[in-house]
Amino acid sequence: MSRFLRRASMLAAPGLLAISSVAHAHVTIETREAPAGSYYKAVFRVPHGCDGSDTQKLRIRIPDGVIGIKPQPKPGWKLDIVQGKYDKTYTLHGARVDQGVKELSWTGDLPDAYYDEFVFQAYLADDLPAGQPIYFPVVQECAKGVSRWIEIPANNGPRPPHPAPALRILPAQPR
Amino acid sequence: MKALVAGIIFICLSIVAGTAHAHSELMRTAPSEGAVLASPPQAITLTFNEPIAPLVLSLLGPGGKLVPLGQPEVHDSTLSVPLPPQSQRGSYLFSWRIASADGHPVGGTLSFAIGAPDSHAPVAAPPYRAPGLYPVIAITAVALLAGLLFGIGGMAFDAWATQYDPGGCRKHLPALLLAAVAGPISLGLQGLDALGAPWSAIATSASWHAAMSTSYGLLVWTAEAAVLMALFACATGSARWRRVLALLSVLLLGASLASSGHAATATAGNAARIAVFLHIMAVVAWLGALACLPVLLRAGYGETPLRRFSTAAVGIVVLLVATGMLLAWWQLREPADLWRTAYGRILTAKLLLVLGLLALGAVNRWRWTGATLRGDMGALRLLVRNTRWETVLAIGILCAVALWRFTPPPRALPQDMSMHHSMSSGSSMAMGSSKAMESPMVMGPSKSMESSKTMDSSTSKDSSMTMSHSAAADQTASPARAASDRGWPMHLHGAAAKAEATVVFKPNGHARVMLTLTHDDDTPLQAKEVSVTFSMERMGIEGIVRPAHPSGQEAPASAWTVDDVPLLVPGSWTVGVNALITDFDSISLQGQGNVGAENPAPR
Repeated sequence: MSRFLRRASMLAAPGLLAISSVAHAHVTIETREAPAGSYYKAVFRVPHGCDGSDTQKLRIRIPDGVIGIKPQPKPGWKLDIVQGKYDKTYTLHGARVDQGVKELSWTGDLPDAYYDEFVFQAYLADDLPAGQPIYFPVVQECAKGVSRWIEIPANNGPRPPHPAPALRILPAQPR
Repeated sequence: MKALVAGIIFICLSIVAGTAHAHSELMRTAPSEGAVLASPPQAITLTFNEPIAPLVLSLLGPGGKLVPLGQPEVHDSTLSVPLPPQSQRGSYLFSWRIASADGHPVGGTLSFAIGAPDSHAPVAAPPYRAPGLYPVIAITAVALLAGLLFGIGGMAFDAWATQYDPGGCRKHLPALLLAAVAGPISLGLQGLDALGAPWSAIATSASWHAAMSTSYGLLVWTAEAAVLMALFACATGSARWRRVLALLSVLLLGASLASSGHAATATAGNAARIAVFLHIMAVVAWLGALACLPVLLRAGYGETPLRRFSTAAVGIVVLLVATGMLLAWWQLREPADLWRTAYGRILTAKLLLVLGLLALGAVNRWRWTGATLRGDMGALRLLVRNTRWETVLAIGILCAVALWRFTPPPRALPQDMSMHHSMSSGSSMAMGSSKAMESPMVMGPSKSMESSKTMDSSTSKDSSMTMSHSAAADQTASPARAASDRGWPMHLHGAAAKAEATVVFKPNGHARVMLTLTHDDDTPLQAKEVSVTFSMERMGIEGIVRPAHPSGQEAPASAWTVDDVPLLVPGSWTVGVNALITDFDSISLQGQGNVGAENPAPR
């Protein structure tokens, strides 16, 4: 009996996610789909610290194909940008760019009892494959411990326990 | 029970409320992880960061024996489970699974010891076995097999080979009822054996849960469904429906007996299962005829069935022998295994019986059938007598098959990662042997965890009637080697990476694990941090998580060690490794392997 309930509750959980779109202890992004070749406002939601301790740093790695990153500064938080070479040359505002922001981090303090969002604007390259997700692995460093939201599910595999926030790319919209 | 209902209501409320709750996290435990207590605790307390509802709780005591728990109580976010007074000193594993507010179940395992941790490796002490359990298991197994094969086979033979006779199928009812009764009984016995529990535990749900969590549970369920279908076939009034239902029940029976095989390698595995399925089909056809023909011949209605069977007999035997030889070729490593190992010796006995059966069948087919069909009553009597002898031999073969369950299963050497060994378990009806390997394959959630080269500890039992399926490869491993210095190897796989793990038992019953991480092309894979999780689904051990440290130099390293894992129970463990490669990349590897059991036949 309990086994059935265990199974049932495991099946119910994704259903619950869909129904109530709750924010978990997971760090997630708000808008989960966006078309290629457009500007995208990425909002990373942090509902909890690690095991109850305050969040002190949030690091996000920018995947290939996401260019023109402009982070939103937060009062009380120090913003750090790590530049790096892109995997290939992209065209942005008519100019060709082959390097830019590859990692962002905000350093500050967010108590576990509070919720906050970390925002940046990005341009999704025109040639990102539609229908595929791209992942923004996030490392959440807290007063005690580190939570890594970096796991990428295997093809058709189960959702991992610490999933990297995923953005599904939609086909480019005609201008 | 109340707690479970509370859990469901809680989950429903959280849907309705649409609240933003989180995955529950364990904040504190009493006793603390790894504590060695002077006296038994009154209760085990788990404190979470938010209200929870318990789903499954279990406690394993020294030697891996199940310890009964009191009714759990939940106060806000604290779960408290009272413990009856424990007199046993040694290591304990408390496995828990709770429902968070968001519906996600969260599980874990807490290890502690009373007095002192187990002073010996788990294998040194023989697992407790209820007195007389094995003979009862053997008898029940033979009864179940005989009931299934003769009953369903007989029903199918009646439906397809004879003229429709509404009451004719009733002669098979005793066999079907025997199977219907023997199935659940064997399931309960299986649970007792899996847990090493005394006879009194048959009344508890723990042993039934343990049995159901193995693929043997699925086998019994499917076999009972086949029996039910055969009963419907008998009850129906239409000839066509009788045929359809009888055929369905035969197919179900084949699927059930073939499904529990656990061919470890994916490619050959399915082929082995198909071979077993076809083998069972041939067996059912033959035994069904044996069940029906004597009665029909004596009553005077035997001519048509006999003729039909004779026509098909050669094909049936060819299928039987061909699939049997194929399975044997996959299983046996060398012919010498036939007499060197107990498993092989039983196989030899079975082969001899099969040869006798084939000889009798040949005599019947070529000497007496023709005469009987021409109306020779003397020939008919001889045919019927021979058929009865065939039945006796067939039952003898089923007994041999049932005995396999108890012989030490084929075990490859630690250095030997042979495919043969893992094939050995492939072909069978793992009658009574519970292997956690089977659960992932059969049951759903941990399907991704199949490692393609796992060491399988299982006893493979063969319900077929011919030469086949043993891999007696293990006999080269000397059983005299001390368990404490023997490393139990495991192979783990993940996306684009693999790992080799060796588990060594320490004198105190806990284990040390050595890991080597590599890319798929065998170059070393450096990781910054590694953690290892051990779980055993069929014993309800949720997940013992331990961080690893680099074996030699500083991180990043490709060789890692976990110093202490309280693996109290030998058997088939599921291992997960999570390795952090860069700050933003981690890989996850899974594998399964037998750890610690010299003679894991009961498990």
